[in-house]
Amino acid sequence: MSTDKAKVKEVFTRGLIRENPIFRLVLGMCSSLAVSTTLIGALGMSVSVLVVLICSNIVISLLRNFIPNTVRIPAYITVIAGFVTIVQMVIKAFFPEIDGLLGIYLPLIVVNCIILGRAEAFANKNGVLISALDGLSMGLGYTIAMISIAFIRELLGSGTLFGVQVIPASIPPIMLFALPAGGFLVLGILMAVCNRIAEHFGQPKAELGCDSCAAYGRCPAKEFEASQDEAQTDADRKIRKAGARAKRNEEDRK
Amino acid sequence: MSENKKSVFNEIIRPALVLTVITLVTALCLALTNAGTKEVIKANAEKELLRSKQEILPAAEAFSEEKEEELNGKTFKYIEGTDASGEIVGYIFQNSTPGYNGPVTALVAIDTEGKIVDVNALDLNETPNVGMLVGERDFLDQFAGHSGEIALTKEKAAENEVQAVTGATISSAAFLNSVNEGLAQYAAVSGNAPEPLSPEEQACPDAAEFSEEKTVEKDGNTYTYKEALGEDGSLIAYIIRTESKGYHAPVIVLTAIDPDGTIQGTATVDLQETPNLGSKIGEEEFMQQFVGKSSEISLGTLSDTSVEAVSNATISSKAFVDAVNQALELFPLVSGGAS
Repeated sequence: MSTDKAKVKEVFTRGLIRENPIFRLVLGMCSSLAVSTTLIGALGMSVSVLVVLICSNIVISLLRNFIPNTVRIPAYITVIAGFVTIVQMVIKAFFPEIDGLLGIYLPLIVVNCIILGRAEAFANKNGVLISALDGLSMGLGYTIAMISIAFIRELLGSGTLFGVQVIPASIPPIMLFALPAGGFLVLGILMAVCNRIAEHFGQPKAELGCDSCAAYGRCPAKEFEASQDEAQTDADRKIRKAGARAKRNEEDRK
Repeated sequence: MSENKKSVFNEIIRPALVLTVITLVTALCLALTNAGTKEVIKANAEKELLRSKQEILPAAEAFSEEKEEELNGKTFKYIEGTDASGEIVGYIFQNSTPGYNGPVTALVAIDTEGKIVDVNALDLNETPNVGMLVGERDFLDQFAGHSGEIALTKEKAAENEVQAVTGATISSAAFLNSVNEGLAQYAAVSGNAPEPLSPEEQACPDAAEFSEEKTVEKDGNTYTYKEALGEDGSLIAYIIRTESKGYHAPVIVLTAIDPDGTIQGTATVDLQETPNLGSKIGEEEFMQQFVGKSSEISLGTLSDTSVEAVSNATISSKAFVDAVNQALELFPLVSGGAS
C-alpha cells in the first residue's frame, strides 16, 4: 500500500516540474509559442489540453489490451481527435470568446506531442486511475508552463494582465515579447530556470544528448542506444583481437 | 494451416476491425456532441453578427438579408439597416484587401447621405502591436463622417484623409482600401454612381448635346461624324469617327475638332489592344497629347506636330495617330459640308 502511495505521489508530482512537458520534455512547442501572448488564451488552451489529456489517457488505458500493437498510433490519434473535436464544439458553443482567441491552435491539439506522447509512454502500459492522474499531472505542468510564459509575454509585450492595463499606457510596451522571437526568448530562459530547479530535486544535470532527458528511462531510444553500444563493443573487441594477432605475428617474425 | 489462418486474423483482420470499431464509436460520440451544440453555435454566430452590425449602425433596429449589387462587373453583397418604421437608415458593406499577414476586412456602415457612420475591422491577423493597431478605436474613429473617397497620410490628417498607424502603412492602406471599396459600393447601391462617359462625351466633355450621325465621303470611303453642340446650341466641335489597323483589331478613334481646326480631345471606342500595353493608348496620359494640334501628327518626342508613343506599344500608338490624321484630313470636308 505504501508503495502505491509513493507511486501516486511520484506520478502526480512528476509532470509539474521534473518532467514538465514544455520545459523538460520539450513537447507541444507550437501551441506554447503561438497562444502564449495573452493569459486568457494560455488559460483556455491549457484547460483544453488538460481535459483532452485526461480523457484520452483514461480511454487509451482502458483500451490498452484491446488495441493491437500494429495499429496503436492510428487508434490513439482517432481517440484524441475525437476528444479534441468534442472540446472544440463545446468551446464554440459555450465560450465563443475563447474560441476566437485560440483559433487554429485548438484543433491542432490533435497533433500535440504531449497527448500522443503520454498515450504512448504511459497510458498504454498503466491502469486507468494512475493514467488519469498522469494526464492531470502533465496537464497541470503544461498549464504552469503556459501561464508563466504568457504572464511574462503579456506583461512586457502589451503592458496588461488578463487584458487589464497594469503598466501605465504611457510607457510603450516591449513589442518584441508579443512577437514570436520574444516567445522563444522567454521559453528558453524559463527552460533554463526549470532545469536548475529540476537539478535541485535530484535530476541529472541538463546536457545535450539523451542522458539528461527526463523521459530517458522509458524511451525506446535507450534500448536502441544500448544495442548500438553492444555492437560497438563487439566491433572493438574484434579490432583489438586482430591488432593483438598482428602484433604477435610481427614478434614471431622477429 | 489453421495456425496460419489464426496469424492472418491476428495480424490483419483484428487490427482492421479494432480500428473500425474505435472510429465508429468516436464518430458516434461526435455526432451526439454535434447534435447537442449545433443549435447553440448557430445562435451564437447569429447573435455575434447582429451585435457587430448594430455596433456600427446603431440607428438600425433590424437588418435585411444580404442583397447583391454589381459594380465594375463584380457582384458584391451588402445589408440594409432599417429603423422601427421600416425606413432605410443606412447600409453595411464588407470588403477585404490583402494586408501584411492575410486579408484585412473592413465592415463599413454608411448612412443614407453617403457619410460613414462607423467602421470596424474583422478577423484581423496582422503583427501584434503594429498592424493589429489598425483594429483599435484610435485609428477606426477617424473614418466617421467621411464620404466619397478617403486618402491615407502619414502626417496630420487633412480633409478626406486619415492618418496611418505608425509603422503599419501596409495594414492601414489595406484597411483604407477596403473602406473605399465600401464607399464606391454605396454609390452604386444608392444610385449616386457617376454614369460612365460615352466616348463622344469623353472626346468633347464641354458639349451639352450631340447631333445625329452624319456621313462624309472621301476617296470612295464613307466616314461618320457628329456635331457637338454647346449649351446655347452653338457648334463647338465636330467629332469624327475614323479607324486604323491596330495590333489585334481595328482601333476606332473619335477626334473632336473645333471649327478652327484644332483638336479638342480624343477617345477610343471598344479598344481591344493588349491589356497594360496597347490598351494604354486609351488612357488620358497618351490621348491628352493630341489636344491643341491642328496639322498632321507624327510619332516622336512631344512637340507641336508629334506625340510620344506608349512604350512597347508602337503599333497601337501608330494606329491611333493614323486615325487622328485621317480625321484631320477629313476636317475640311466636314466643316465645309456643314457651313
